[in-house]
Amino acid sequence: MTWEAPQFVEVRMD
Amino acid sequence: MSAITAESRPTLAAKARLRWDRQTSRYLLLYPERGLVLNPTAADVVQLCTGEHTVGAIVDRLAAKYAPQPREDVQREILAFLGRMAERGLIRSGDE
Repeated sequence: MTWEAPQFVEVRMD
Repeated sequence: MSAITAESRPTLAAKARLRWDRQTSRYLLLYPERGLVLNPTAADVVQLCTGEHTVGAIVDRLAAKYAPQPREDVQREILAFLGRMAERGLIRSGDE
C-alpha cells in the first residue's frame, strides 16, 4: 500500500 | 484544548461518528449537519483514535503498514492531520 498524507474534505450533509 | 503530541492518546469527540459509506466506498466522519470525507490513511488514523493508543503507537502501526515510508514523514503528517481535526473539535487529545 502507498502512504499518502491523511486528508479530509468537508461536506454539508444536506 | 491541549495540543496533540506523540504522547497524546487521542479520542474521537462524542459528537463525531465514523461511518463506511457503501455507496461511494469511502469513510465519512459525521457530526451535526456536516461531515468529512476521509482518504484511506485518514480513516486508518481515526479508527485508531480510541484512547488506547498514543500518537506514537499509531505512527508505529501505520509506518509498518505503509513501509517503506519513512516513520518521520508518517509522524509529521499524522500530527498535522490530528491538529486540524482537533481545531474542529472532532478529536480530543486525551491530555485534558
